[in-house]
Amino acid sequence: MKRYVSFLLAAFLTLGLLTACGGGPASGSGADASNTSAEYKDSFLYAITNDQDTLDPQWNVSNDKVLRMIYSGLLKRDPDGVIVGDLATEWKVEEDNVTWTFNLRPGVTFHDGAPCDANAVKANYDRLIDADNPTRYTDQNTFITACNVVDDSTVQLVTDKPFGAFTANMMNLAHLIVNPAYLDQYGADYGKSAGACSGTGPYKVVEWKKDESMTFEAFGDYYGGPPATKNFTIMVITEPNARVIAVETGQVDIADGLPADDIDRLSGLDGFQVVKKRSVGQHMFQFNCSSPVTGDTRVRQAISYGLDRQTIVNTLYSGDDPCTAPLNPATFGYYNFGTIKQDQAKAKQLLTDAGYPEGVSIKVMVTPVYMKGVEMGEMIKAQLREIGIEVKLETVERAVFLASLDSHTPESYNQTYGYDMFIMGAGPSSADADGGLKRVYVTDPGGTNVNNYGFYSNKEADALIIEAGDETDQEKRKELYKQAMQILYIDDPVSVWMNDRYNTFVMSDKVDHFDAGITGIIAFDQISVRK
Amino acid sequence: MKYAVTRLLQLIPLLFVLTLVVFILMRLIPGDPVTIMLGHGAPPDAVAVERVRLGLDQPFYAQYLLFLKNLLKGDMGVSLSTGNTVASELVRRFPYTLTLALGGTVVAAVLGMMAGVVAAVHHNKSIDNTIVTVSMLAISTPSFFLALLLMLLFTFLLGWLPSIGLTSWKHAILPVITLGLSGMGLVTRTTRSSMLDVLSQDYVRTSRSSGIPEKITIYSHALKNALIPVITVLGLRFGYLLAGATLVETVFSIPGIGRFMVDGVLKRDYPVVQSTILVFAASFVTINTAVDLLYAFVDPRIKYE
Repeated sequence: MKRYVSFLLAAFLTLGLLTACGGGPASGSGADASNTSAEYKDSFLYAITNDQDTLDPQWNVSNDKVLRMIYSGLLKRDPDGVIVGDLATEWKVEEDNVTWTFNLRPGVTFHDGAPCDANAVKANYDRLIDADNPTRYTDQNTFITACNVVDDSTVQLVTDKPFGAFTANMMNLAHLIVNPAYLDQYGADYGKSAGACSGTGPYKVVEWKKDESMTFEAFGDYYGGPPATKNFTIMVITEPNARVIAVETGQVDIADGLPADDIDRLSGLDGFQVVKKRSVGQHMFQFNCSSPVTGDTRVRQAISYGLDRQTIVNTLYSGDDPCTAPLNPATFGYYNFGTIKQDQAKAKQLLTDAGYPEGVSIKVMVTPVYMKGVEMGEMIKAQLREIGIEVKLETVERAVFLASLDSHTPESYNQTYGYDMFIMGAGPSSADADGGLKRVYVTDPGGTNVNNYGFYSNKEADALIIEAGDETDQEKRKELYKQAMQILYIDDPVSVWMNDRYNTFVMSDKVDHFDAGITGIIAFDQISVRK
Repeated sequence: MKYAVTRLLQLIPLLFVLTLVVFILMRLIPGDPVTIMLGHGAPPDAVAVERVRLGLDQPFYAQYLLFLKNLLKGDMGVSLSTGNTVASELVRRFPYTLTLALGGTVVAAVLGMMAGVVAAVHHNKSIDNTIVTVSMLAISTPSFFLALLLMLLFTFLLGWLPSIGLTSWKHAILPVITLGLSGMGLVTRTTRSSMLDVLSQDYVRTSRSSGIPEKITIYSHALKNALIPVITVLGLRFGYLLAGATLVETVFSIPGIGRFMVDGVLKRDYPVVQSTILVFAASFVTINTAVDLLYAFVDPRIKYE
């Protein structure tokens, strides 16, 4: 009975916050070579938090869990985080250190049977780097200057300068290869419906009911062999407690994004298994460095020393770890600086040194976009009050949160919003420090917060991060990132880093061979579910 | 008939004013559909490309006139976030909402009227007090909480009914009961108080004293005369539910019209919000006109000129 009462209490508390509250070209041949064992089902259901915005990898911002099943890239990251070949069987950098040559896997076809050759790859990269017709990720790939076809099975990518994180950056979903014929046919509508997309991945989309479900069918000619299960369906269940009920009552086989309390409860029940995988994600509170108050390094340090992260993480994110660096340990370039311990005396001294012996008031923005984000703000408010900092907490919806990050200058930001600190979640899709630090912390050339959300600027950190990106010796890169992170994390903090995230999945104990990568990619093609 | 046509014609200026109000309100609230679609860190040049593609680079008045022009041609526009036409999304989602609205109203009508009559007939007795208490509970319990309680009982503990989606009649039971019970309280109270009025009328006393069986007196004579306010409540309830029971749709993961519009507001999906509000307003007025006409059927003394 206690089980039900605790479920109901958790459900009620969460729901109390709810107030904010095709046809196309014929696909390839059908698959029948999937798991034929009588022991396994020929389909399974997966509950997901949000629907896909688009199935076009160069415009998708929702997540790439599903896209990796439809498309392949030249390279991919295996579940252990190692970069391996996908459409490319071999690759190397030429002596000029800027030309990368990829040998393509022979005989690979798109879902409609068209060959995936060097020309198809070139069409995708030409689209990605076309500055005149930019896609969502063009600005993140300006390091690629050209894509050249050597022959049908060989393609070269040319970078503007030697780039140490080149292959890691190719893990971004925008590098997935789509069928160019479909791009021509559908134009801006590419990826907007089930029939309007085509890749080389293990599954093709056969039905997409927006905000409801997406159904996949095995692609029989997948070069990696048939998927373990012939069909699977992604069910969109936005409400966390509904996902809990769905998986607990067997209405779906696997669910993610469940509240920590329910994960703890379900892990103790018979018939369920919990898979916890380290991710590259972190939660943090980023400083507005253009604010008169938090523009002062000493105030930022005082806030950092004023917080007891371990207590906050234990209370809100059971199972996560307090951060030990500006990067998650799963990210290349990580260095363990240790969790910054709460030191209230030091924090008060820093505030006094900054000219606030009687304390100071700051405005902090939180949003329920991040799970338990509002509660984390409340705990921070209570802890900072103990060192004399009065926090005015403002909770905003996603639209306002995003509007506050929309290319503001310091003047327009402070006039319109005036937050001294704001919640943020981050994790580089490249799983590399270059993606985790350069775009978001190096001084923005235009002086806006389009990428560098808190207007942070430290010339020493800028130089170290840029040098580390240009360096191709990976050990030297690590050393340079370590020096940069010493500045970002401790000496001139850009954020208060809170917790390193894990991706946690709850599923029936009948699910076999489930695995997920550090960037949250799930190997749906490996999953089998016993009857 | 003339009355109905007049009422429906009055819709035209109402809808016109509504388009203007909703158009202005959507653009006054902070947030931009393109930055919501492209997430934080979206490069300004990609944002500009999308704004042009979606026609959001045009001046507000031009956007509004285009919206009106297309609307007159029957084109409600394309959802900025899904790329589907708003009309096709409404057509796909309407059956879900209609199922919930019809089911919820029928359950509320049957249970509420039965309970209301019983309470009135047993006025001031323990059964009356019990019904009044239960109806107060039904009115004051939030629908999403009631939904969770029903899920706990019928899905969790008993395992009888599914709770996700609306793909079969079994899936409809829990959300329909949730909405039915939520509406039942008001119907019960309205029926009870209306019946109490009627039961004290002279003709009921006459009927009883002339030896007509009590059941006929209550159900044939009294109830029919007590129905007008009950029909009003049911009509309003049905119109309200047709606009989508957003919380219940969310808890049961049903992609109805209510969720569609709330998601539209959260994503600043202008065409979705502008068009669905028009549909809501039109259906609400139509239903209330139908209810007015029903009065004349129930009570022949009512005539519309």
